[in-house]
Amino acid sequence: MQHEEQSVVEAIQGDKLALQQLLKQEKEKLYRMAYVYVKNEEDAIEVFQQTVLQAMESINQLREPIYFSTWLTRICINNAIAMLKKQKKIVVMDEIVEQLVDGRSEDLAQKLDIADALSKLPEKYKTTILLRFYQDFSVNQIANVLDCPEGTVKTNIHRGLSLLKQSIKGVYSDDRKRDFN
Amino acid sequence: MTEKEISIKSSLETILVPTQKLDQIIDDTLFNPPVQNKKSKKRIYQVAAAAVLILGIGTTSMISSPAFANFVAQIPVIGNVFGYFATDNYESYSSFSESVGLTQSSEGIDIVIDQALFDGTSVTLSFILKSENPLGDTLQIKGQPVVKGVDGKNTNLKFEYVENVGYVGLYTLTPNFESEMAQVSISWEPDTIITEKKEVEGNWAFEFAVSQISKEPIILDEKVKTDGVTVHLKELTVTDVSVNIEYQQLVEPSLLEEWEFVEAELIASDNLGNVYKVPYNGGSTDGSARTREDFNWTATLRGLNSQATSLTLYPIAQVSRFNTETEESESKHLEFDAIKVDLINQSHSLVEDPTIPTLPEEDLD
Repeated sequence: MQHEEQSVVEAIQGDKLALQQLLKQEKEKLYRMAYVYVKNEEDAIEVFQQTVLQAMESINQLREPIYFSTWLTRICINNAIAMLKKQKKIVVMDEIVEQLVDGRSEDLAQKLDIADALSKLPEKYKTTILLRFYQDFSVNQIANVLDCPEGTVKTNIHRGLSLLKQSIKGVYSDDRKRDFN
Repeated sequence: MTEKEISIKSSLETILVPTQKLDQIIDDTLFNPPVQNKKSKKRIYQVAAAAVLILGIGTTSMISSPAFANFVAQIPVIGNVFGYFATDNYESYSSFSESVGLTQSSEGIDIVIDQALFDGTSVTLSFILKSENPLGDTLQIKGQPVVKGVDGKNTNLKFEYVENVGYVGLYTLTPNFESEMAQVSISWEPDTIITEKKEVEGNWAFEFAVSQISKEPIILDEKVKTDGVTVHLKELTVTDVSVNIEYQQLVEPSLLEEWEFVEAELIASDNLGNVYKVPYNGGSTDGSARTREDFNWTATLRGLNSQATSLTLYPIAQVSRFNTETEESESKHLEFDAIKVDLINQSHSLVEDPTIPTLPEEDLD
């Protein structure tokens, strides 16, 4: 999401109202990313809360306003992974589907299949797929966020998509239109 | 286009968002910070402290603003960073590494390169990163170390946060060493340290040389083939800390008319019944590649039992594609003849139709 650079600058300088607006623009993406990791509302909310707290505490350290989204996403992923390490919860997949939505259509059921399959992917694949196709980060941006070579990012996207394809039916429009090799 | 397209993005939109609750959290956190956040933070520190106990490192005394001259002497893990990565079979690296002992300080963060080892395939360096203020338990470093004058870049970073010490970490660099090198020059100029608490730009710059440890290369030059995929096992090199294997996957062009992706990997077992994972360090293609899936790989086995006298390498491959007619992904698993290598007399032999061993559960991804 492109933010008004001026708003980010104001937030960096301590304007809490500016930061409030920026966080409200990002809240849905942050919450959904957290949910895919922790798989329940209560923990996703805690991850979100930690993310907001850390954003408030360290926004003054952000040097480049254009990296606001990248920086915030990194905080969210770190918190979600830290939460998983703490808990190592076992979540029955049926519960996730129940929590997601009531009364699904056929199309929605397919989407739920993808959300389920995504949440079951190993952590490294899940992270790269979410950053690439949900946050629309480039391979280069992902390599910077995760501090790994671009080749590793490409491999993980490739493998993650292959695993997704193996576990569900359907064609991914995202997969088709992006050249990730 | 008749098939139904489903995007990852729209699938995530099915996750219901408790909008009001999130707005409330943002408002409360910014303008009326809740008390319970402190509780959450405390839990993170307790987890970090527990990790220290599990690793058996007791660092109970707080290092309070040490003078820089005393800084290195007061770090209790100098010379023992590899010990933190025992589960990845790095324990033996400490004994065979060269001490580097370089320290750079910038913006209140000190980086010490502790030890380094070059086994002919990879350079592994251990480091400690310390700040006077606690940094939290996540770390990202912008600016990776490189092997000077060598192209290609496969870099891996592992780290642990140790309370009262800082971060202890390992970098593994596996570039494309096209010729034999007795010594390599390493350059590392990290420019930004990112933790969960802050982002610090600074000037840390290291340059040092590492000599190659002794090794025993065993030429294999053995090709095994199954269903259009050939695995060419080129060379196996035994060092005091690792076994490195160089191999190539070669894919028949006709196979790629039906299938999209091919990935060959290795599993190994010794004559004592131990089974090892042999993760690859990275792959590359060269001018001789006939297909897009022809790759050269190097892979490294760590923690070989010192009593082992032979090692058997089991190539396996995953071949996959997406079938647009059935709208289903399909894959097949290929197994190959294995190569048994006698580590004493350095000979090798083919094992036809072997039973592929199963990795211990803790080694599975």
